[in-house]
Amino acid sequence: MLGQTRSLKIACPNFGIEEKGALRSILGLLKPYLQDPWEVSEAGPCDVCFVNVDQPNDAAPTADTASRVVRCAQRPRLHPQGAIHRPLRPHEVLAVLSDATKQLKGLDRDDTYRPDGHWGFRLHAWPLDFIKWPKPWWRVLACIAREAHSIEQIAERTGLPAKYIEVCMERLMAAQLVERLAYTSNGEVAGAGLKQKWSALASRLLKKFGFAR
Amino acid sequence: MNEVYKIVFMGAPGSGKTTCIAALSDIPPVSTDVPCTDALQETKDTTTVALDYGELRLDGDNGRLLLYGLPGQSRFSYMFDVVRAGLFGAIVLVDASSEGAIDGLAETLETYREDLASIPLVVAINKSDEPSHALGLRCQQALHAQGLVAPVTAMDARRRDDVVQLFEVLLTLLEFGFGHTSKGRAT
Repeated sequence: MLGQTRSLKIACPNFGIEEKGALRSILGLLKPYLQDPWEVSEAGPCDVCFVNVDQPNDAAPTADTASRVVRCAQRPRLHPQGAIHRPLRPHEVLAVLSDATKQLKGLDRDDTYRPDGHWGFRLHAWPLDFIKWPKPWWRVLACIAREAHSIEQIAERTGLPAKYIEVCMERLMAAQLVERLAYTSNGEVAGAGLKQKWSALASRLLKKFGFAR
Repeated sequence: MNEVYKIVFMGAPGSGKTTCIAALSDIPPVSTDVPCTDALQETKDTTTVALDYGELRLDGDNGRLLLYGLPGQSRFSYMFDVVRAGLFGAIVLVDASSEGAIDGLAETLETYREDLASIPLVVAINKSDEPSHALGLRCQQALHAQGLVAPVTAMDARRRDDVVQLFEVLLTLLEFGFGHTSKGRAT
């Protein structure tokens, strides 16, 4: 997939003409420092999607087409980790594209990668009203709060049916609280003993407080 | 086997740490409260100068959960060393009635970021039955600024049921967010 001659593509669907021009200029400046050539793509599939999150309503539909989404904001500290400044700064673009190149090449080498629908989900903020959500959904939120997991993995870890998890995920995606990421897994889950330990402690404490499990 | 686990309540003076521990502890809480002699006099009679301590007994005498209350300010960060070993969760309290609530939260999160990133964390907004959506968002922004993702919820530290519900959230995080080591990879 990552041929030596193919340029990697950046989509920036809700950027203005001037901002796209600025990005092209930055890519020219960064060319000697990037492992692979990158170009701004006006249409079609892309490898990285830069989204102007200061205009979030424009961004949502197009972000789905990229395997990696980079949030760009005038105040990136107010957004989840990984957001970069807008107007774009060359050193941040270099960091993002270098990182993306490594990850895209890593995915290429992984035989289990299925770009047609094997997704991981990672929470970037808990819903503020989560306390009113069904308690089994708390498990889903907890499961994806630290790292991305596929629906199958979440089902395995939480003991919930995949369809039930999908409903929760749809709600999270509608609220833009979850990131959908290209995902690979060797299907191995480690640390089952640790889970048993914490499950036992949770059961003991909840029993003490009068909750049934 | 006599197992010992620890949970820490953190927050600015007056955020409700002592009240939370008193609501849960099976023993009379040990507190290091002294009369306020500074500007805090206007808001409360006493304040905690070191730490609060309480205990929950698990299954009779077979295990204990130690409850600690620590000030959230960076100048007291050395006290975290007392509780770090065996700590499995943290609840950071935010006093919704305080003008400096978010600044205090930000200072706590920044000071203890590395510790808080490695254990289940809940941010609890106290002293407001219906905290504004804006305050919740500002708490989330303070978390984002430190690269942390944690539930933010309202509670009344005087109500045991509210404190127990915080525990339920914390235990859910522990069981389903920290119970596995993933070998997957996301991009």
